[in-house]
Amino acid sequence: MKTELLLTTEDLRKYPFVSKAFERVRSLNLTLADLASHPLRNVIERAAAYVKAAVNGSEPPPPSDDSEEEVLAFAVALILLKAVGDRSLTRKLAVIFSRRVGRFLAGEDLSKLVYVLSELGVKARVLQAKVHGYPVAVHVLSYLESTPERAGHWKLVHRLVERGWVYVSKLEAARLGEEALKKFIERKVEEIKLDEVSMPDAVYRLVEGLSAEWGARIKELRERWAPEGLEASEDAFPPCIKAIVEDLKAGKNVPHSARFALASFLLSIGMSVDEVLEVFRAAPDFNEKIARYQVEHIAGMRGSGKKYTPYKCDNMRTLGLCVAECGVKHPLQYYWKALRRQKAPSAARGSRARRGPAEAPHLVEGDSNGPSTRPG
Amino acid sequence: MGQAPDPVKVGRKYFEWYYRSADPRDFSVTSLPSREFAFSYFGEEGMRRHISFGGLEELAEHLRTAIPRHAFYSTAYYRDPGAKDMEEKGWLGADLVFDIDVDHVETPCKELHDKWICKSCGASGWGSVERCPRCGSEAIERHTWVCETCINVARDEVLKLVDFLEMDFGFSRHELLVTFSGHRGFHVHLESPEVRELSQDSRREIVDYVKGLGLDARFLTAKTRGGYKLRYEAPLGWYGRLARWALIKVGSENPVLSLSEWRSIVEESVTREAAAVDEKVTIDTKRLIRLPNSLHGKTGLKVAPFSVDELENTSIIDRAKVFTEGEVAVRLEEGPKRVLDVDLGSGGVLTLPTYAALYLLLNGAKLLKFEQR
Ligand code: SF4
Ligand SMILES: [Zn+2]
Ligand SMILES: [Zn+2]
Repeated sequence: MKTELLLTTEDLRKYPFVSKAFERVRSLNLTLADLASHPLRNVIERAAAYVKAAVNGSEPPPPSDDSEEEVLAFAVALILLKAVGDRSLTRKLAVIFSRRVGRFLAGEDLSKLVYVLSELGVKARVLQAKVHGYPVAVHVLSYLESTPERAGHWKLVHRLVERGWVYVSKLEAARLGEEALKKFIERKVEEIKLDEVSMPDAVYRLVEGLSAEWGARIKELRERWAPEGLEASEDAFPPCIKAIVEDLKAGKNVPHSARFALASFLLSIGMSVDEVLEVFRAAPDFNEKIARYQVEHIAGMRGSGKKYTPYKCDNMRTLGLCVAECGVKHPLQYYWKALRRQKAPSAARGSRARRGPAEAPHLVEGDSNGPSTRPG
Repeated sequence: MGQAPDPVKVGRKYFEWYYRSADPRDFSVTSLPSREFAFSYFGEEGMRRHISFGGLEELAEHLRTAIPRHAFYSTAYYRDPGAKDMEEKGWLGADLVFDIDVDHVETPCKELHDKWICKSCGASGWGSVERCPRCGSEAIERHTWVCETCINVARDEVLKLVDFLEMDFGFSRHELLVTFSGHRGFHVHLESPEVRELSQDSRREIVDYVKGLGLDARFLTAKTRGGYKLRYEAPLGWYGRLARWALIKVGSENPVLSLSEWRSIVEESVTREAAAVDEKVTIDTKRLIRLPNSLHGKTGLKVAPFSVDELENTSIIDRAKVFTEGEVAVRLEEGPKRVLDVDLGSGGVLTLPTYAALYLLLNGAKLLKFEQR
């Protein structure tokens, strides 16, 4: 079969997520208790090392020489993530693990690369002859779902697109694989059904330890990026948010999308519902009851209990709310940066600062869904 | 002297006749039991949502007996479409849909049928304005109407969209379901399984693509001696569209130009080739949209389905008008000068085709008489 030809056992060390690897895990029919016991202890330790790397934001340990151990450790790492139960930690591991896989992929020959992509649900094919220098075509919908950015040369309008296919370089194909793997890992963890009752004590204690470490780490990050005692500062607002505030103050009719953007932004920087309402009071059609209901809804205090995250710059642009090119992806990112520039001591600089406020994932993650469901 | 007719009573009577005589199969919708339905009824404010049906017969029965003024269904599929709460509904996926509406497009005929009134200073006039030309207020009340010209403008936008969907996105025109919205535009539905789980981000990117949003000359061109050229010489994607406009504007498909000259070609090309879709509708994966072959409660026109080929060579209004029999004598006190395919001149006592008279009535024209002939 094609699979067998394309992926060797050696490859499973690098790509422990392919279906062949998962089948292997299943066929072994092991329980967590088996893994926690002595001869298989390495697997658990390796899995924990992966999760710890995610906690610390460091490089994951290199793959084990033993492909079986690696495949099992990967599967167990996902189980540990599920048990810790914090999606931002899952995302962290997804990021560092996928980055490594991206590097492996970039070194493969094209047919193997495309095979791994297909395992991740990315429809792609190797071209018989290059098209404008591009060796690979990726199906446009796969491309859209896995593109690392929707700006610059990744933005679809800037690509060579032909009847459902986007032409990409080998490096770009590897990068698409990296992004697809991130989502794949998050989805897998989501799907795991965990029976905590039957979890062996040793594993349970391990999970507790990891959770505590992650909790401490989050607290540290929060303090670094949104130091307490810093008041929400209007000066640090990005231009788009400032513009909405000014429109409100000028008594202009501000569209629903802008109100949503503003409210979710203000809530995200730590304002209370009452403080947000004060800002909206300037609106010509201000109605305390309705406004409170809406703001509480956005804050996740009503309805589905889902806290809405503010729009990304991409969304703002599409909605016609972006008024500048700030070189950030998220208005919040602009805000945290500006705030630190204004007030924070130099402690937050250096290598971590370079990576920027994306380090505070719990603040900006998730899809921005404005409340919707109106008839079209 | 007649007396002012009641749109609720009259409208309901006509709609009832339509829904009673319609073939239930006209209302068939793929995966019907997984969709949410929503209706508003004659004489009732607001909309009733979270309705679901086990099958086509149930839906047809509801239409026959409840006679909705407006009928919608969800572009989304749900595990439990009748549940009140989004969480409980269990979203399973959504069609990819596009909404094209002349509300957002300038058409010459708006001077003939659209009116605006400033809520701040009371000024008013024909046509369509963003803000009051007298006092600058954005608080504008609009009375909008639709005529054949508007519909043809919207149709052209749909054909531009179809070009993107076929040539760039690789969909086949046979997968596309196009419906007249029953008012001032069209809806384009794609129901293939591969689009159902597309994220909102991807849908937004598709919108940006068909609208030409974010096109940036810096990424489309490469530096060469004496200026910039298109990065690729290929009749593909936006590069093909830009080459076409470069040829028209400067006589060559890939001339050496400055960045700002390229920018104006980009602008030109976007104005001419981009499809004016309403991004909110495409991005929203929990949207309600009009049920094909239902009637629009403000026009009495049918949400008529079209294949792309039909769209190119059939009269939209002929397919959309339902009440074509007989005539109605009306007395039009105040209203548009032209609607659909009918000239109204300056109003007064008129004998109109039934569908036109009903449209006037349902959309709130000042009528003092409505007598079926
Ligand atoms: S780039 Fe982002 S932060 Fe800046 S104005 Fe636009 S949306 Fe706001
Ligand atoms: Zn005015
Ligand atoms: Zn018109």
